[in-house]
Amino acid sequence: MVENNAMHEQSKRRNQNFVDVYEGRIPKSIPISIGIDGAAALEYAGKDLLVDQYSAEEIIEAMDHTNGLFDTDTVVGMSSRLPSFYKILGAVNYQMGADGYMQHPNVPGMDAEDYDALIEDPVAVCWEKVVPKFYKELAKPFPHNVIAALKFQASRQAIMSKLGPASREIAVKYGKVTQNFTGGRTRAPYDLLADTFRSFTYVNGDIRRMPEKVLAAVEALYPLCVKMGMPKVPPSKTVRVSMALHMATFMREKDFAKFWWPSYKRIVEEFVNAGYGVFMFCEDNWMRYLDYLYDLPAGCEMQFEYGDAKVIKEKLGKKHIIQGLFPSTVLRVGTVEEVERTAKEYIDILAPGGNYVFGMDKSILRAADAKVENVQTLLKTVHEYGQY
Amino acid sequence: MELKSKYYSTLEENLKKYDIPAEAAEKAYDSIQGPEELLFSILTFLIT
Repeated sequence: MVENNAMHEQSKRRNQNFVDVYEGRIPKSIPISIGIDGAAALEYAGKDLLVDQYSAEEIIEAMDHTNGLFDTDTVVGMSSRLPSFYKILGAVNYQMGADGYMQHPNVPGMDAEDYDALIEDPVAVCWEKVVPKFYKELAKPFPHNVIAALKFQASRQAIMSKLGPASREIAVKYGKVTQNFTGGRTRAPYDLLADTFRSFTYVNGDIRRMPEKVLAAVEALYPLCVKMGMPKVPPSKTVRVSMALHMATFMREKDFAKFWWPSYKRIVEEFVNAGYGVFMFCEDNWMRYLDYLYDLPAGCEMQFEYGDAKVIKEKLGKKHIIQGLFPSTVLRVGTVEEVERTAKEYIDILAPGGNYVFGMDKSILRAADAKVENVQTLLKTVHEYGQY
Repeated sequence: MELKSKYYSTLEENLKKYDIPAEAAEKAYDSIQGPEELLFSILTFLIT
């Protein structure tokens, strides 16, 4: 009972640290947001990806183990991209590697000649072109496709209906964040075009050969992206719409400014004007685009993968919330002393004045990515050193 | 900005399609529009 109360108080403190940052106050201590993938959690728990990720019970056991092992602020080790779903669908866009890890190959969902149809009705292109290309079982004639779709949904329901409640129980058990700060997930419109419809490979050619169609497609995808991300809970700055940003850093600035940025800025403003906060994972190195990011509405949470922490803090830190940058390679190859020293270096640069959530450059996808003692040292250091 | 598609209908469009009186809109939301929204969220999962 005493322990339960202590955990409850710890959850409240951790919730409040995030709330303070999102509402523009300096928290009592730096909130920590690090990602540990479901596959890594299974491996930390000594389980076999090839066998155990088909079972909700095994996944929950691994989540419980990993959340007990690591004193993270938020629950880690949850995955929604599980192999049973993709096996049933005959997926070509998510495939299991030889060791059981789910890979995401670059598959174009439509051909260049489908642009006009996409511009006319993007949801129709999703159902008629993309879904049959991504999923062999859904491309089969009726009733095979309907049977596969029903089996997929039944499998998803069977597993996710257990993982959701288990995640909440784990948060309570270990005194982690119990408030849900993610209200929705979506994509930048150009990224959706690239990732889902044309693939990373072809979209860059499209902006040379058919720039007007690319711009019209981005415009047509805009309402779809808004609907994908718009939260269904009452507006609050603590409810964040999450977007992982993919393509921007692989474009010339001239193309970025014309094709990528306008619809992205607009969608961020749309969520902020609706009363929500926005979280963005700025994949790769965004240093040349910091002035663009500065222009977004105040209070956006920006996780950076690479870049100069001092410059990022100086340019963006008064207006936006900085997250990320801690190099996860230190957790893989470094000593505990190096982990502690590096964590303190980033905190010294990024924490002053608030507007900071401690995070890494990327999530821990596999157990081999981060030694247990290094992750524990990292968390202990941030908890102790990250007090305001 | 509203999403328009032959594969996505608003509550108003669904009431018309399934011949349900407009007065039932509030009570029919979960049973009629709920599946529409669930289908949209399944599509989101499938394409991302």
